[in-house]
Amino acid sequence: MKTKRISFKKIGDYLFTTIVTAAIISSVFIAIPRADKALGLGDYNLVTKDSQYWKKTYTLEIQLPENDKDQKTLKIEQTKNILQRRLDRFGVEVVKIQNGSKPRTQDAGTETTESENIIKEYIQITVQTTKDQNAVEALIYNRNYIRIVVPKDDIDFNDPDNPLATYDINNYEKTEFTRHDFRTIYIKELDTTSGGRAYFAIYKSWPHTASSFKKFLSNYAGRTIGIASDGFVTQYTVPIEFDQSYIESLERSNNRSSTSPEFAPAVSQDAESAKVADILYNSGVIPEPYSVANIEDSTPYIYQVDYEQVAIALIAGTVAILIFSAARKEQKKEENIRLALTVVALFTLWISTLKLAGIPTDLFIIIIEGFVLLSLIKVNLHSDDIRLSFSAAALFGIIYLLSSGYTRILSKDLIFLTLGAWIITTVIGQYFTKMKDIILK
Amino acid sequence: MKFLAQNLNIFTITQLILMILILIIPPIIFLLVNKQTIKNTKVAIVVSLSSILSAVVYLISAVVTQRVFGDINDGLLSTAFALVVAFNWLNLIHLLLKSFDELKQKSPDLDHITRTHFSKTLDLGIILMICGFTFIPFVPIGLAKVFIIVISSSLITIALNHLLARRFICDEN
Repeated sequence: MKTKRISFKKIGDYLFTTIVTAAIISSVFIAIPRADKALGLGDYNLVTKDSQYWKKTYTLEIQLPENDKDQKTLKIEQTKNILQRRLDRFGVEVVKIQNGSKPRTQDAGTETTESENIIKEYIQITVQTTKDQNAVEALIYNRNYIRIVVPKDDIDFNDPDNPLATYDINNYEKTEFTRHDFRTIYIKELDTTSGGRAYFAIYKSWPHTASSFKKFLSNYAGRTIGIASDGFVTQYTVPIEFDQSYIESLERSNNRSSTSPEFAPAVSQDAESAKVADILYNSGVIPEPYSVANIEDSTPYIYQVDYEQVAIALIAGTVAILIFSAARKEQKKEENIRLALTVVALFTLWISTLKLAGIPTDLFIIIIEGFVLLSLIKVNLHSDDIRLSFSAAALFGIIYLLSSGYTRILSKDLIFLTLGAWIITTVIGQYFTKMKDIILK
Repeated sequence: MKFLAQNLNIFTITQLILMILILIIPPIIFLLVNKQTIKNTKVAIVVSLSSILSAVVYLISAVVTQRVFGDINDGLLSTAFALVVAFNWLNLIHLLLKSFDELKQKSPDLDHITRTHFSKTLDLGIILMICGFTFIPFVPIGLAKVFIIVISSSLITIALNHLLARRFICDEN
């Protein structure tokens, strides 16, 4: 009796084509608008960001010394640049910063008093974003000019009648060390002495200030100093490890040089506050103090697009590209079918992922992404040449690093989508060959 | 610079300088690579002009679109610029890769590179146009303005690019 040998390759091929067919069909059903309700499969619509947007305009009043007239434009430009950088780094979608004028509310009132030695200039910042309002306002309100201070000798910080004494900058003497003396302030999550985890700000000095700062810390080892920022002081006890004589005795007993300790006050316990602190510390030093003169609420301007429109636009674009591709005489029929399958698989898998994962999206960004992908898919992405897909992904990576706001969101998505396009092109290529074999046999 | 910054709502002069650098760097890289490998001055000129042209055409189309159809949502104008740059860069990368492939052949034909590349470029131009014009009826007017800027800037760049290349090929023939 003859026994048939099992062909594992054949089984593998059947399995592969079945899985790919199932994935494409199910993703088409998930991606189609209103399919969830029509099929009674529960609610898995696209989550849009529309309701999360808020918009405000802040007018900042910068106080410039009158004898500094020549530097006025430069300082205003620096302030605008630093504020822009802060908001960009936080991922605020729309930021518009321009020179402003004295708010009307201040003309009638007596909120500001003109001083002969001070020139007041105004900057208007308009933000429209889905980001946390408190965090965004912390980035706008705080100049965050860091200065190391030391307590005045005659101040009693334990006085029960003055519980805020530790925070008051008038109770401290200024030192020479400011933010300018530090190359960077590195935020890192570390273990605390109590066994928990917290974010610490590690101050990295410039080479020319490192020795004097080390000497200063050595003098204050075991004692309290303060870190002043915008008139508010946070106390910090300098660890004994900073004492130079202590370090030397340690080195003598161990007979080797010890690693120098880091000046690292605690910043926060939650990641969001640590991110804000990182941006405030490392986006540049705003040259002059300022205050918020006016805040105005307004309705966010969002492109009202519904998902049905997005779907119709994508389908129309796909059909148009396929007609163009079919009309090209040199294009093979098989190539066109492969292209059609790739486009359908790419778009439906992408939308299905967004729907099922509940990732909040801007629908108008999806339309732009669809436009870019459809434009590139035939010439660049739908190719066996892996270099083209990776070049596109690398290019969007560069744009992501250089851009901000919507461009940043778009380029981030396009990095994944171009790489996804390559994976899907490869899988569909295999699928098409195997399907052809199975059907023709 | 100030005039451009005010007219395009792009805000800072620093950002404009950054944009110009983005546009100048790729042709310089391409010229250097070209000097070492392809050694075809004409291809290099076409590519360099293409990059600078895309910026000039973008600036003109952005100003004209804003003047004709009104202001564009802050933030999306720079998105349009990023897309124009991306299409142009991808086109250059395509040319570079195909040139390297051709050079690997036993008897490389530089005209073949130019011909196949610009046929691909023309394809991209037509697809951009088809895609853009099928999308525009389904999107809000604000977004349509972005598409108009991207399509017009990319198309004009591609058309000029194409004409220039054809001219070179015809001259040689």
